[in-house]
Amino acid sequence: MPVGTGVRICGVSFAYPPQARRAVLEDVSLDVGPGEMVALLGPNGSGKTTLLRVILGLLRPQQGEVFLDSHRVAAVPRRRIAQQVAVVPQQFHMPFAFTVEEVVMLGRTPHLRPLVEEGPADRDAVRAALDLAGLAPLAGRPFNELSGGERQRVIVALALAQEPRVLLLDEPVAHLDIHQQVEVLELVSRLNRERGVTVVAAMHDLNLASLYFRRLLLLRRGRVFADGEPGQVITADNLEQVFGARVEVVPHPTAGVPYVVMMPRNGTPGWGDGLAPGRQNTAPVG
Amino acid sequence: MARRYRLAAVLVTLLLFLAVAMLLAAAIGAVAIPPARILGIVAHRLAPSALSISWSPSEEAIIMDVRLVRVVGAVVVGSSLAVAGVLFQGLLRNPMADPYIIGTSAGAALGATLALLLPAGVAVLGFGLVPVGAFWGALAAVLLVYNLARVGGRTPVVSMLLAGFAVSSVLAAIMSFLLAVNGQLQEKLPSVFNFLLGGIAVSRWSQLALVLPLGVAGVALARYFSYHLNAFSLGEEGAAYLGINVEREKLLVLGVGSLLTAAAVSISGLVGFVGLVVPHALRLVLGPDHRMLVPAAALAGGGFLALADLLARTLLSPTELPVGVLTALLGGPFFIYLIRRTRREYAF
Repeated sequence: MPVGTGVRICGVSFAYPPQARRAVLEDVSLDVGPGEMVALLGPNGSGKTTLLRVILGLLRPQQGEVFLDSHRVAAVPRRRIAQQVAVVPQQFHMPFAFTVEEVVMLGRTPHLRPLVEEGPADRDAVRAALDLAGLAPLAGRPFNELSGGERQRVIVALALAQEPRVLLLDEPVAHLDIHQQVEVLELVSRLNRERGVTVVAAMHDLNLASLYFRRLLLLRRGRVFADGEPGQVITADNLEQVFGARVEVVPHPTAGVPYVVMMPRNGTPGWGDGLAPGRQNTAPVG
Repeated sequence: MARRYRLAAVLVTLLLFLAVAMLLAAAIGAVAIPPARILGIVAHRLAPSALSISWSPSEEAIIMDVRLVRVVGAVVVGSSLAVAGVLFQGLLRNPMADPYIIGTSAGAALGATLALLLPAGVAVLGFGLVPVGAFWGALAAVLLVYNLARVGGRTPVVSMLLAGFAVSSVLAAIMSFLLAVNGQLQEKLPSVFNFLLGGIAVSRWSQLALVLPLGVAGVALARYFSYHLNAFSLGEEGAAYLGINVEREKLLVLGVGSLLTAAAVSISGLVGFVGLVVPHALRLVLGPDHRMLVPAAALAGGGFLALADLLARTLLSPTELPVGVLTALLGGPFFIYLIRRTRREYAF
């Protein structure tokens, strides 16, 4: 059973080399303990995806270091990283007619050697991943024929088959409808609870982040603006400063976590004349 | 387990196909020689005195010095092009990539032509510079097309076809220019003509001495990293997530694809569409797993071209068609059909 690895980011600054006028990440520090589940929040361009790519070692920061447990990511070969860290992107485009099972088997790539067929351990990992993602009945179906939500669950299963200790997700539910979003996030949090996998996810939807993550990191222009529990991070004041949006934060009806309600200019529907729709009907006639 | 048995069954079937195709191609011609006698001749050569001789010396000469050379040459060309197609398609994530369509063949042809222009005394290991020139030409062309066609980390069909067309056209124009201005090349006009249309041009075993090992090495290398090609079907970013050193691996795949194209082009010129038709048909039957596709394409591509060359030799006998004319007549319409069928998927 895989156990989470800690991720430590120490004073990382990063700028894309040619247009280095503005750093994408500036002096970011973050200590994610083994088995923790953290969401990265912030407007588009605030550095969420870049931070994930830095953790993965695909981008080398100009300053600072990233550690997986006590190992410097910069010094670990790619294949070794992939044996520990798996990534779930927004979506994968698949040009060939691989079945669901074959796609999930791709997760074993970092554990395979050339000319060595996959063995019982690999098949077990794939079967376990399919079961956990509830995909066993779809195993033989072509990946490209599935719905968006099913496909995203396959991608999560692919990452699971890697048997990672850290799972990085880059806006994993951005293209899904609300039912599918909940389905995927339930799967991810179950992994975190049952297998102790460390999870770091860039999230677009503040309310889903508040519901599924115990710790949130709010980024503004490449800097850490707030870091803490949803109650400390998701506040009307913070969101106004980071997103420039007027919102109200109310408690979620059953979970009690902060829930963000968007506020139109007058507090009334954008098409309206100052009256909320319900009131028009109940207003006395005549 | 089931997968391994299936792989074995498929490979045995394709091996039989290749053997039958080669026997047929060696048997049929101006003088028909029965397959059993061909086997006897070959066995006798491999292990003299193992068999009593039941054939005439002229039959032996036809088989050993004429037909088999040509058949083996056709097999090398077909295998190399089909496997190169699998490699380019896997790396570019694009089932329509073919060495001919994306300009690799044209690059190899121009490289080979330039090598012909060098002083005849220059030679590497006594083989002449043609395959060397073909390799560098192929590699340069494929790198150029690859960089031109990439849009945001992907190689869309349209931009790949356009880049391949443009690069091929320019390279072909340069070749025509060289042909027009260079008297040395004009003297060799019939063979240059054959080269441009794609005809198997081997008549001596020594011509295969370099190309055959190159083809075999290319196929073996392709099989070695074929499981990485599966990861590449998730895109370069996705392959990196799975621990693949993308830049190194990409160069390796393009390099081996160019090597195979160069091996084929140096003895056949521009034979098109083999790398498109063969992998596509195999994918329909075997699925897209590159570990199976690479060896299957090597066997099926070789058999396919041996048969195509047999047709090209005999169809209008005694006139010989260049086999490239035949593969284009077969493969062209198939290519158009593929474009029509996948139009929606690739958002033309």
